[in-house]
Formats: sequence, structure tokens, C-alpha cells
Amino acid sequence: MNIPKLLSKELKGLRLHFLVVLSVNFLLMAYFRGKIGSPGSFLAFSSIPFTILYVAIFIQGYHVIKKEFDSGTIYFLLQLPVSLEDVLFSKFLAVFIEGFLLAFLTSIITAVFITSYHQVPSFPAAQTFKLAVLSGLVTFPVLTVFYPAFSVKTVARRSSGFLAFLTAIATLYIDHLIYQILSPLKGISLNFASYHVESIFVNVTVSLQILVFYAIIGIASLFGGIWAIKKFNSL
Amino acid sequence: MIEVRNLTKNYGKNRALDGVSFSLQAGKILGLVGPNGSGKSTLLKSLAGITSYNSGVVEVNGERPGKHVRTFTSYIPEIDALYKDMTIGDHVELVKKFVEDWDTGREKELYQLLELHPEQKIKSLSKGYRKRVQILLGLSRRAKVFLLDEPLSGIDPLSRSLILDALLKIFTSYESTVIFSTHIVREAENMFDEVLFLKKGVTILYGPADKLREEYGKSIEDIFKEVYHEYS
Repeated sequence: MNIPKLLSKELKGLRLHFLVVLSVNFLLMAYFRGKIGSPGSFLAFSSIPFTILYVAIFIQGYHVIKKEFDSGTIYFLLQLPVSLEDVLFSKFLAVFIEGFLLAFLTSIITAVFITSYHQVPSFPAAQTFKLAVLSGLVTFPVLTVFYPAFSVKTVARRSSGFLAFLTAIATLYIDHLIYQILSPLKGISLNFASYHVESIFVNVTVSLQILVFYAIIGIASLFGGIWAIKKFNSL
Repeated sequence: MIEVRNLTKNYGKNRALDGVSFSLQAGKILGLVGPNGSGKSTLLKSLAGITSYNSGVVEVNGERPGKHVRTFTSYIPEIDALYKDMTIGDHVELVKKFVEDWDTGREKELYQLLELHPEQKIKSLSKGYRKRVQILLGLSRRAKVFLLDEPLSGIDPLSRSLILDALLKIFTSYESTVIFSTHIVREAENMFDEVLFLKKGVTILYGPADKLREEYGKSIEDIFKEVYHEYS
């Protein structure tokens, strides 16, 4: 089985990227915690590190495949007893694991900073864990842009549309779960905003997040698909 | 050992290989000769299972090309396919993880013969040295089949002569089936048991090297010049 060996090679290559993104997010959160006086506003600003994280993962997902083709090292991998699908799958998996861990840890960091505000009642650890896992899972739809890259075989090409549809539904459900878990935080009394304003704010934030994700995924799928088909046909 | 019948491969509307056929017995060396763009690389990639083909039959040791064929086939690509930020030793370790026919004794011998050191970073090496690394990685395997895509092209004469020495040493000491593509015929032709001349994806001449020399009364290099002149 060669996928674990390929995966370990890919994960090694992602270590620096992982540390950089995590450090940037931590420093940003620490900065917001120092500057912002209310937990509600902190929660709103915490969407910035998450956006950075998902965008970074999105770019990295594209980059790890593109650089292999552009530098010709894909031929180094293909001279080994591995298939193109093994290579692509291990890259996808490696970036997903990186994104999952980053989102998981960023969620934990957010939770720790939020609870450091004394106005906030302690948020249950189990809920925090669930929220962190769900945030990690959001990495998957961010990476669905790479479905076309798996369309090397006819069967995969036929099923990729259906898989993208299933992923979209699953992501909506994940976002719904995140919203449900976050809903107790809407009740936190803020320094400057009422419960009502906060509720609208959370709703708008989540809706925008979903909208932006799918817009990015849609556009990138289109360009990524064209790029992947050109590349694989030239092999 | 290698059987190719009516192999055809298209890249979009361009035909890269057009009905190529040949067969190569175990232990023989086939020289695949032709100018740039004649389909040599596509043929080798098809044999290694790296690219698919449109029609025809390809069998390597009785199997269709694919990742399983690469468990006993060592393919050395023409292009520079090394990771710039890794050392030679890192590449060796990576290949060793995936193949079962790695020969450590031969690896040491090749390090010496090709004047390489495991600690050298790829980005610090010249083109000729990077080619030497690819040769080291490909030839350190006790593979049944070797597919060498232009191992002598675009490099300095010293690297060329060292690579040729390494190839001769390996292929004369150990019976392996080899397909060696090149457009630099003079230096390599003594190794060939058989020669296949390709042009624009079509076979223009194929046969045992000695028989061709006898028939034309010339070296393979001169036959190469003559047939390509005729067909151009």
C-alpha cells in the first residue's frame, strides 16, 4: 500500500506552511483579545483568522498539485510504483489533514480567548470540541475544487458532479450544526450590542461565509477543472 | 519480454505514435532513435504506464503497463524530475521506500562512479550532475526492465562519458532488458542489440543493429543521418 508512504512525504512538506498559518492566526487572535473589550466583537473578528485559514488551505491545495506538474517532479513520483490517482489522493488527504488540524486548533484558541472574557459563562468542553471538529470538516468543501483533478478516469468524471452536490448539502448541514452550537453565545450580553443585534450579526456572518465559500469553490472548480484536464492530457 | 503491436497515441488532434510495433526479448538492448518530436518519450511513457494510449497492444513481461509494471521496471525520464530542496540522499531514501529491488551495493558503486555525494542539495547541482542523479536513482535498482529516455541529451561531455560508463558497466554485468532512447547515436550505438528508428510517430526502420550495419555498410549513426535525410 503506497498511499501512507506518499501521505507521509506530503505531510512533511506541509509542516512549515502549517506552522506559519497557525502562528499568524494565534498572533491575530492575541492582538484582537488585547484590543477588543467585548466577547461579541471578539467573536465577530475571530472570523478573520478562519477566513485566512481556509483561503490558505485553498491556495495550498492548488499549489501542491500545480508545483508537482510545473517542476516536472510528477515524473519522479510516477517512475515509482504509484498511480496518478494515488499521488493526487495523497495530496488531497494531506492538505485536508493540515486544514482540519489548523481549523481545529484555531477553534480551540478562539474558545480559550473567548472564555478569558469574564462576562462569558464557561462554554462546555464537549461543545467546544464538537465545534472544533466541525470547523475542521469545513476544509473538505474548501478542497472540493480538486474534484476535477480526480476526473482522470471516466467513472470519477461521471461521479464528480454528484459528489460535489453531496458535499454542498453536507456543508450546509455542518454550517447549521456550527450555528446551533454557537447559538448560546448569542445570549451573551455585550458591552454595546443587544441580543437582537448579535443574533442578526451571527446570521449574516454565517450566511456570508457560506456564500463566499461556494462562490470561491464554483469559480475555482471551473478554472481548476480546465487546468487539470489540460495537464493530465499532456502527460 | 516487451511486446508492442500497432500502438497509437494522440495528444488532442496530434498523432504522437502511429501504429508502432516491435518486440524485444529479455536481456536485449533496443536503441530508440529519432529526432526531437518523433515520439520516443511518448513510447517510453506508454511502456511505463505513465501515459495511456488510444489503441494497440502493449505488454511488458506479459502485463499491461501500469503501476504494477513499475515494480519491476525502472523508468528514467528525460526531463529534470528532482525536488530542488531535497538532497540526493533524500531522493534515494524516498525511492527505496517504494521499490523492493533496490541494490545498496550498486548504489554505492554508482555514487563513486558518477562522482556524487548523498549530502549534495539538488538545487546546487548543474544540469549534468542532476542527470547523473537520475541515472543513479534509476540504475541502483535490479529491475527486469530499464526504460531510459534521452539519458545523454543536453549535458556536458564529461557527464555523458561518465553516464555511458555507468550504463555499460551495469548492462554488461547484469542481464536486463533495456530501451534506450537517444538522438545522440554515435556514443551509444555500440550498446544496441536492436534499433528502432522513429519519425513523427511512425517506424521508418527496425531491426538488429548488426544486420542493419551489414545491410547498409555503415554505422548506425550514418544510417540515422541517411534515413532521416531521405524521409525529410
